[in-house]
Amino acid sequence: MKYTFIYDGSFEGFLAAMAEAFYQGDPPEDIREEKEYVPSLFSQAIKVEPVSQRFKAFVTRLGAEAPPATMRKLFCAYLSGVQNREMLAYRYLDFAFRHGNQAGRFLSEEAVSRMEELFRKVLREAHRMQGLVRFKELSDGVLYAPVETDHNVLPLISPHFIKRMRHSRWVIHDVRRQQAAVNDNGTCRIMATQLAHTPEYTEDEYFYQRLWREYFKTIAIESRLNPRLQRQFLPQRYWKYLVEVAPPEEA
Amino acid sequence: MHVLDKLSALANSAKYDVSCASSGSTRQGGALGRATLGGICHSWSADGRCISLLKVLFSNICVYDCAYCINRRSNDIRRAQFTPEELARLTVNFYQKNYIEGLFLSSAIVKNPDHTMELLNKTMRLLREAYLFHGYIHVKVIPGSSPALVDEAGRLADRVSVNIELPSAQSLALLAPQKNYPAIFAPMRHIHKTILQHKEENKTTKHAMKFAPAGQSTQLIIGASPERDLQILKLSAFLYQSVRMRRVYYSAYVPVNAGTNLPALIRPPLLREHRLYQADWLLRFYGFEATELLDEQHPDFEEGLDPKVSWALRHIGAFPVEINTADYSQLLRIPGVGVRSAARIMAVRKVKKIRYEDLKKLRVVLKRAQYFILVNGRYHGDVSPEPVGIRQKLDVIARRPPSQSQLTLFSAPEEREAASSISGEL
Repeated sequence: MKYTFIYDGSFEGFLAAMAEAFYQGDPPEDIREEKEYVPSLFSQAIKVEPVSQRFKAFVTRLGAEAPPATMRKLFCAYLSGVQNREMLAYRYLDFAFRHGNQAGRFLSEEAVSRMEELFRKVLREAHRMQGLVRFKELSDGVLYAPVETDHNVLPLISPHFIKRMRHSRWVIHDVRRQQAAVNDNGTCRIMATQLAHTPEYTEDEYFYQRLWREYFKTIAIESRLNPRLQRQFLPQRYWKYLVEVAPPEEA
Repeated sequence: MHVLDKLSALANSAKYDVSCASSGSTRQGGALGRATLGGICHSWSADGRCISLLKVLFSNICVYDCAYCINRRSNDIRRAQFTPEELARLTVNFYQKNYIEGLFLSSAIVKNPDHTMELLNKTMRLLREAYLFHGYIHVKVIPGSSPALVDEAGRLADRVSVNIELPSAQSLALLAPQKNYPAIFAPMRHIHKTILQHKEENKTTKHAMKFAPAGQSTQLIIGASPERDLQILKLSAFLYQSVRMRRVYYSAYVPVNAGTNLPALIRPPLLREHRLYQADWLLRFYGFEATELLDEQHPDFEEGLDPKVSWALRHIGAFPVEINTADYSQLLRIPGVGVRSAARIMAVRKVKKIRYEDLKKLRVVLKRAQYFILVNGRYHGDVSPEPVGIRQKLDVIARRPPSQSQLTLFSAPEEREAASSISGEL
């Protein structure tokens, strides 16, 4: 019977599950985060401990045998919201261990191209969110930005916002994953978060939102209107928290 | 006047300027803000253009009367002017809320060029020195302002630009009688020289000052005057070489004014603008020369074909190219192969032979590439590799009903109908 490896949802756990799967030899039935796991009659579930001797040996092996940037790719795969991200990563690693340093060049191989695609998707959304995050000023002075993203991009975008606004207190709240990046004077942590009450904004906040909407409306050239092109760059799934296109919230 | 009304009037006056890039600078370390090398888009307006910077005029109260310009003195529009403090505060607040990457600062000519340039510099000083703002600033150099003021602008901004607007001296004299080519090119050359000087100094001194770290750009209006694409593209190529222009922007002329010297366009020539951008990319990233893409016999791009396909069809003897042996510069010249897919092809070739089926995964656009390549000696195109047949497959104008064609002043509508009837696809 094949195995399904279950991990705790941390990146260490993700790597430990890979380590365990490769130690077992045969391709696993599946690798799953605990909260996404649905028991199956046809495979045996094994719960993986995050940090073990085997995990450490595996990380060393990655450094020595896998092509450059593999760790970064694995991290992005881990952050992605794609259903079978773990098995995509497993197949990539399986290919990489067999072809060594050159593995990344086999871009026409399914195992490699799927991983590259996943990697690009996550980085693309992270880049996009650097522009689409919208901070709103709460009555206690904190800048608060709710987001809903396809992938868990908080760890990828936080460094940018730390450099951009080191001295402000700001929160980027991933509403879907109930996590938030919280910055206070250059110290930024990612923590589990739930909104206790509806946020209260300052008068100024509503004023600048009005200004921004006016600017957004004015800057479009009437004789070049092209809403299809607009939606191509700015998919509607991101509109909910975008001040310029979401329905205005007024005091 | 309320700030909201000012913002509305002065954004409306600035919107025909194309540039909105926030790239090319790595400024950081201040209390607020940083620039990122690749630039960041923050939104897209209803015309599909990216919004990266807060693009406004400082003032639209102009003493000039340029025929093509919405802000010309003789127009009856809402007039407004920011104070430096108002605009600085607006920028900082928009920036903190992450609406923008920075400020695009331009202005109509208030009183005279020096007075205007000083107002822009004052706004930037306020941002950099009082607000310690380290976000991106793109500033327009006002043609005719003194070199000392231009120098100060370069020290405060990330990118500076002087708009050429009309692609020939004659057209400029006709449509913008108060401007002239020397007044535009002199500051460009001056900026170029100063950028080089600062680069030299940066090599030896540790804390040398930055001067326009994101270089300079310019803009050309397309379709307000009779220049051919060849002349426009040669001008761009010259600018890229002689003053290391980072970008030349092309702006399809939007008829905001009626005038005896101006064409009566029905719609802005968007497709022509698009073709020029494609050609511009071929100059900067694909190793093409302007005179390869166009010549005296072919002074304009075909609207129905992209410039690379058009070039390839005129040089069909250079094709088909073998994907497994062609060098990188040859790969770049294949229609349907871009900078990224060419790099992927080179990478894969190091470890295995490429098969036709692999090309799709390498993101080669086979719709176009199929006619120009061999894979392991085999041609895979769905028509024989001859210009007439390939053209029929790829010409987008000939393939759509004539009612959707764009009409422009300088190409008669009959020509277009003739082209469609030749292809027999009406």
